[in-house]
Amino acid sequence: MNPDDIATFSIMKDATATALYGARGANGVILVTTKEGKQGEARISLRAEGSMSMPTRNIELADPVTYMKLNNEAILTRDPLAPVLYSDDKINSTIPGSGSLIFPSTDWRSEMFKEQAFNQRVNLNVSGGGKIARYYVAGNFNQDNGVLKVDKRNNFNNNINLKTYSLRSNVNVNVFPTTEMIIRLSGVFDDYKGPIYSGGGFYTRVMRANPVLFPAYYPIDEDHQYVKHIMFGNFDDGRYLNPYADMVKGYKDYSRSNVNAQIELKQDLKFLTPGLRARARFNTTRESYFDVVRQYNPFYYQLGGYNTRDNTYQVNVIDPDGGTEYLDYNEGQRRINSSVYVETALEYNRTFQQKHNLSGMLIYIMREALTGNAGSLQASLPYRNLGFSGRTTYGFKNKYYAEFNFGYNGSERFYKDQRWGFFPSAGLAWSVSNEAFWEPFKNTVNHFKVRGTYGLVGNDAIGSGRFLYLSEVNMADPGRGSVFGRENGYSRDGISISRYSDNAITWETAQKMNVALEIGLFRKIDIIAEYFREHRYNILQTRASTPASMGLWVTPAANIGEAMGHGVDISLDYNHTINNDMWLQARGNFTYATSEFRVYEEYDYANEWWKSRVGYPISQTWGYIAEHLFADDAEVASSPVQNFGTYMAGDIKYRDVNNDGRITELDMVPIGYPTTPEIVYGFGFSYGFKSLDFSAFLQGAGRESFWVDPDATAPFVPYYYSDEERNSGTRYTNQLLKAYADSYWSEDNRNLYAMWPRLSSTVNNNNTQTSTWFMRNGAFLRLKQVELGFTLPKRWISKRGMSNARIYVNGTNLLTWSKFKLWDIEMAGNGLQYPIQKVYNIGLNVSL
Amino acid sequence: MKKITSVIIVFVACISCKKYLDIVPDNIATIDQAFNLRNTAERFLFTCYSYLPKNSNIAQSVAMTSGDEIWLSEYYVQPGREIARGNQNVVDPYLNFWQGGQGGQDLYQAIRDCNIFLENIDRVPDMEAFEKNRWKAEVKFLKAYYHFFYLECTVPSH
Repeated sequence: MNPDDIATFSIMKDATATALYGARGANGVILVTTKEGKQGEARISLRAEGSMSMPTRNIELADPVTYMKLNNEAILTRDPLAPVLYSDDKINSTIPGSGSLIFPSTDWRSEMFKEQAFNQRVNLNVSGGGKIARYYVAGNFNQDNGVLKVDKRNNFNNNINLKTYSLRSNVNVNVFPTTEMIIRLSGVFDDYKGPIYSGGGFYTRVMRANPVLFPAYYPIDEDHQYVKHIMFGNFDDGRYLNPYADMVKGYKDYSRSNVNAQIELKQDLKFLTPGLRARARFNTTRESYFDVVRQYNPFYYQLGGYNTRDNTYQVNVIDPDGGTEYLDYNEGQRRINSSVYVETALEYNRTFQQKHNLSGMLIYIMREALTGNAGSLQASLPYRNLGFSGRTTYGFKNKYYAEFNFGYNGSERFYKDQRWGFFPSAGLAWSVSNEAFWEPFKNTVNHFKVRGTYGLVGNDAIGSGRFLYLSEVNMADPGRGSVFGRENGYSRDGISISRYSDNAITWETAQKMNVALEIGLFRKIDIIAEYFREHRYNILQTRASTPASMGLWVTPAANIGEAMGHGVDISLDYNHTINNDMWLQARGNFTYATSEFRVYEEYDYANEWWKSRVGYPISQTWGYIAEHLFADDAEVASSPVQNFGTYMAGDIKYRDVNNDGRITELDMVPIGYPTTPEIVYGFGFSYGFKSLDFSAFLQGAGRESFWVDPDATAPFVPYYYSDEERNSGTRYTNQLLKAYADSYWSEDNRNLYAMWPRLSSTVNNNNTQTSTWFMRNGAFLRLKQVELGFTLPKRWISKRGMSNARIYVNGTNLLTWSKFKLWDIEMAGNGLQYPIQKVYNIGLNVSL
Repeated sequence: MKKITSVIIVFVACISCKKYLDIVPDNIATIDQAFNLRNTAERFLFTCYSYLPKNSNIAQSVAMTSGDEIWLSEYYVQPGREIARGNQNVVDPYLNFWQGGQGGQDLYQAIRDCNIFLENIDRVPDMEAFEKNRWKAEVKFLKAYYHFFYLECTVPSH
């Protein structure tokens, strides 16, 4: 959705607000209202922006000479008799930056990526109307250019070129004096022409390519004058990863569209009784996507012989039959989704005798969603929701308020006995500042209101698979078949079960309680402080205590978990107009929320009480306590046995918490803060002086832990992001981070607390277990947004027919403060992915 | 008149509420269907056979690979070889015939499948009695064999 189309939005968190939205509103609702036209002349507004984005922090990799030395050391330190990959001659002759093709040192990142990306955006909207019809029409165009460098030798442009168009039309028509019809049509369309993988896909490839075996490509030399294709570099059997070749070998076209059509009818029923209104809304969305990939198979060349005295070399093609000079054609995924939504409501709002304000609302919701690429029969059936809810409120003299809501929702995922759930809620509020006795305080505390709500909310988005009560059986499973016969001639597939049927699975229910205090001070400061508490029960959990001797195919699940969460939410707004020329606004918010399990399905840990999840936050992590790296082989022999694989001096030593002489899963204890931050806060201000305005906003999080991913960042080891990569046969090897190269355990330097344990060229299961070794504090504070704007003087612009014009520059993610320095902290465990961007933006906003 | 027609347009009725959420068609595959026809019952019989340890396959035979009399080249994937090298562990046991994993089948699951077969095979309508008896006998043997094999693997021998 385009932010320029949003008129208002509000966030609803408590039970009374979410009761009206049924099962999908259990975790809160964001209500967005788009703009509507108003009666009057056409008002035109234009916004144009251009922005430059770059990574907030570039991860530092070790230089190629260190890479080779440490790679050799990684092989020898685990097996002193193994052959090393790089000869001493090669290590001594490689000079980074020399551009030598005999001893190459390729900086893949700077070969492929530009330093910045430039994007542009234009938005135009027109609104106006007359007595019968009013309109709001908006169009938006986004041009995203990528960060990839283009190779001029291809006749196609392999940099990312993403054009996004969106169009919206909201029309209000007064069909009859008491009937209003609103039609909202909007569509968002993407057209992409660019390389086969996304920017993130190339970035992870750069992080897994070898920097010293070959250059990106060899220039055309005398022996290959006839060659018309690019001579990409490779080594040995030609299966090493060459990200430059992957970028340049082809391009992808994709097209995506998301269309939303909505019609709403509002009827004023005051001829029946004053204050009664009815409305009906019908909405459908269609989303579609397709892509096409055209690529050629690269020809890979490797270094044959070379002569360092003359600085000459020969290159030979590795597999002359494996490459092509013409493009092939691959149709990629095609996705289609559609949904239909119907809502009808009856509303009543009336004030009696100027004292009693009564309102009521009944809403009926029906929704169906279909997907065209479901993949299985059960997933292809339409997804349906049905709900009926209502609300009544009563207010007395704007001082006392009471409210009651109910929701009666049905879900298709449960058996018909459990399908429907009734969720009521109630609330009370007292506006103390409207009381007679508050008059003398009105100047200091202009607003003082207390409110509380309590209710039930149901959630059906639980478990995996669609119909939780239905069993899922594969009647022809080749994995469970057998073969008979002398020549294995008679074979049949078997039958396997992936879910047992269970008619008792039902709604997850939460009791939500919310108490809030709203205070307004001096007509300038608004404070809202809220305490919320939620008790969720009937949480669906997989049974842990079914014994293996039952021989079940899958462990069944049941609604047995219970959890409790509570917290405070405080927000503060300050508004002050200092004089005609200056104004100041400040805002801050702070949320602290914590949770704990009350009942959790798990084994009976009588002796290992630390393994029980009861009493711990929901996203708490369990892991081993890492003490230090083993100093030498004698210490390894005398310590408890660690069962994860082979290990030796220099690997991580874990603590045997239950003193049974072995490190097993029973030694896992809760470590660190939960992975979802418990504290989230933000603050900022806006300041205006005459025609200038300046604002800044900071955001931060605290009480959070994350783990550096030792699998994804382990140097010299293959790491795959998808099964497609794993099965492709290409050799991916992780790069070496400078931080690890500066601090690691080696036989010469037995640093027990180095950042990286003993090097290895294969995956070492002992060091990749979740433990306190790679745990880091995820607290940070970020300067999220800074903006400086200049509003052009009215005398100057009204001569040109404009009513308002503003030029502004702003920056996003400019500064970050955190204790973690290796990479941007919001990337969490794996820093070898596409970095978070900081954006500098300049824009112009004109209204006519 | 205009007002009443617009009122009627406004109210979209929800007459078929309860049926709206009943979208699962009646013939989704369930385990009961396995015993409706002979050929699906035959597949269930083959499932019972599928848990047999492949003792004549030189790389998967329990006795051949986990004893240290014979060593095969590393080209063959043999989970049992780690047992011969002394690496049997508690966290992820090799040749795990208790729960299935690392080269072992889940024998409790096998015994349960055999029991399900024995309870339900009489339901199949298009089979002769002699064939049902023969299949029952085969599955009873399999059930006994799985018990025997399980005890062989787990009970310590002296």
